Amino acid sequence: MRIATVCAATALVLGSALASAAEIRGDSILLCDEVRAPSPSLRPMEARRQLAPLLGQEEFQAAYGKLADLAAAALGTATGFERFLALLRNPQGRSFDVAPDGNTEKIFRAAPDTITIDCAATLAQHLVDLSAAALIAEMIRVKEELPAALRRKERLEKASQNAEDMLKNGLAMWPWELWLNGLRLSKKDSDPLFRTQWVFMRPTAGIEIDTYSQASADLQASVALEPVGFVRYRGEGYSHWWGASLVITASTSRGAGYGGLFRWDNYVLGLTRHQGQGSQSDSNFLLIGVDLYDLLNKKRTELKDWDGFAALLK
Amino acid sequence: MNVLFLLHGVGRHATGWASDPVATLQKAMQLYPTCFAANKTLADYVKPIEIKYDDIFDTVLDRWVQLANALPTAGGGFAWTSKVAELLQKAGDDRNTFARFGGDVLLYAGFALVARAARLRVNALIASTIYEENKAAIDAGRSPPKFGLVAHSLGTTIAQDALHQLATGRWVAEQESLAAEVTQAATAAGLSQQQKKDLAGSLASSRPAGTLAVNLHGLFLISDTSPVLKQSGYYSEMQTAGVYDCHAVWSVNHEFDPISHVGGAFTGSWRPDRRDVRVRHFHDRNIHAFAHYLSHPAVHCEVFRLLVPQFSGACYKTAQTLAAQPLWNGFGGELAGWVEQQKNQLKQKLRDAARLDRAPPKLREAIEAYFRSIGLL
Repeated sequence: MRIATVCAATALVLGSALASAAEIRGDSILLCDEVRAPSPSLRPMEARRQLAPLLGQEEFQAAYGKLADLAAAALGTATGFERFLALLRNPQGRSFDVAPDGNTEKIFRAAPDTITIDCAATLAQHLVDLSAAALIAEMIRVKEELPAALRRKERLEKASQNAEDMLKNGLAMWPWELWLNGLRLSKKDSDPLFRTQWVFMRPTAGIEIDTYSQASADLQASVALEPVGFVRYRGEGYSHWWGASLVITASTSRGAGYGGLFRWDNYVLGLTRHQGQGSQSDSNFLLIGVDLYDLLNKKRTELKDWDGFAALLK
Repeated sequence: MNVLFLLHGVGRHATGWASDPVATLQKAMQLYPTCFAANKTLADYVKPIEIKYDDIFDTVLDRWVQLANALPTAGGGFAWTSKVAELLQKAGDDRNTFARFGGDVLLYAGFALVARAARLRVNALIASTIYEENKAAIDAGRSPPKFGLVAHSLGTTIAQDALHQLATGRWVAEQESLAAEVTQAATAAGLSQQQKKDLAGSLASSRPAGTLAVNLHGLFLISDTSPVLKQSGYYSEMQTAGVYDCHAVWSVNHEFDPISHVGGAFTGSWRPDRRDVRVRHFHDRNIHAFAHYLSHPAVHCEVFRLLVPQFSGACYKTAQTLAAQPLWNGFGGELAGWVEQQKNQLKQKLRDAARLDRAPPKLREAIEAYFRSIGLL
């Protein structure tokens, strides 16, 4: 801490010419660490008063033009600022920010037209006026861009919500599905997110029931595989969908089965065909996803409860 | 009041994570008693905005665990599904370790949907803050605020990608048809071919229709990983008609930080006015930590200088003088009492962790090697 204090004192004596961020301060501007007064016509309050009718009517181009006139009059015979005035008349969205850089303040810091103000030297009035014009121009730019900034904010909030809803509420993706569907995204985040999700090599838990012989039904949940398919999202929030897939199963004693399935939200219903072995004939199996099976079981229990209740009434 | 966005790196971050870097900056303020009043906090000078995105990675891991849990054990040709389910369960159950090992890096760099969700989260907050703060300033007749973003580690990649998308995306769609309308109007007005050509040239040098500049005043990339991990583009290098959208860029790296090395921070050619800040202090074993970087005067003075008008040129010069002191170029802080052998051992381990190729999986390995080298795993 002692070192810091000593350094601070030394620096205050030796290095007071470095710049800090310029800004409007009341009716003056802060530039090169000092509050400075621009020429009367470019003092923030007077400039605002002159520009107010144009800004009120959102005539921003005219406001820039008026500010350029004020700046040109204040700069008088000072030379070398023709480019600044030209840009002020036709800014095309250019930022007029004034920022510190070492021992200087810079206007258009990130552009080839950079105007550098040396803070170590005594500042001429025209440099204060130039900076004041730049700071006021920056206010015009920001005001002009507000409606577009609002649209951008609203679109981004929506896009962000959609992207997270898909990950959180949508049909959960296995890592390779997440990767594959990611390949379909456009390069621009501003393009809408897809509403159709691909299904690829997706393991699914299901139960297969022989449509001819319930006795041979295998009610143990087992794994089916969806080689390819899709889901299409419905409504907002990526929480509802329908879809279809091809399916391969190996869940019964009848070997591999092939078929298709239909998906409605988390409910899956499919049909598979298993080849008969030896003298056995081919048979069709109903494939029921675990969630649908649970739902059906729940409904069956409710129906039984209703039967019992109905019997009591008789 | 100017705005400071803070964007975290790998690992798990609870809501309020930014209190740590903010506390570091507040502690740094005490180094400049003539610049900051003793009873003031950072929030009195600048508005810190915390950005958090790692819960998106948690969501993905949660969904994978759900999928794995719902899958019965499979046999025969489907046995592989059980192995996959086992792996996913493990990643979900050990997510602290997964994140610390740099699993976030793989999720971001390997899965475009996850990366997009993370970028959009970041951009939604930035765009919303820019709009609201600018509107408040204009309504009050104040100068519009300056916006700075300090990103750390994986956050540097996400910052570059997200801001590039923010600056180049067609977020202002109503203007999309502008160019076509102008062409039609030019034809209707009977302009000559030369006049049309001039008009086309003028349009070409302006921003693409439907886009809006970000005009970020300062981007601080701390332990920069973007050269290896970036998915979209370098916002810091983005220009329209020769004008950089980002007003100023700092790349801040520790000479011994293996993540900076493997992340490619010391390579590449950049815009001429980009500032490279290299630090070499050891005040904590975790030299990669966000707070460890921010504690260095050469680092925090740039943030203060850009965003705190009270941090005058004299204050900046004080910080530069401090930065050159031996304390900030060697061992200090918690490690002040270390003997030479301990110092050399740590340096050697860090050097070893940095000897990897520059690629996303190698960066994950470097993160693992790094945390092992400092005994945090």
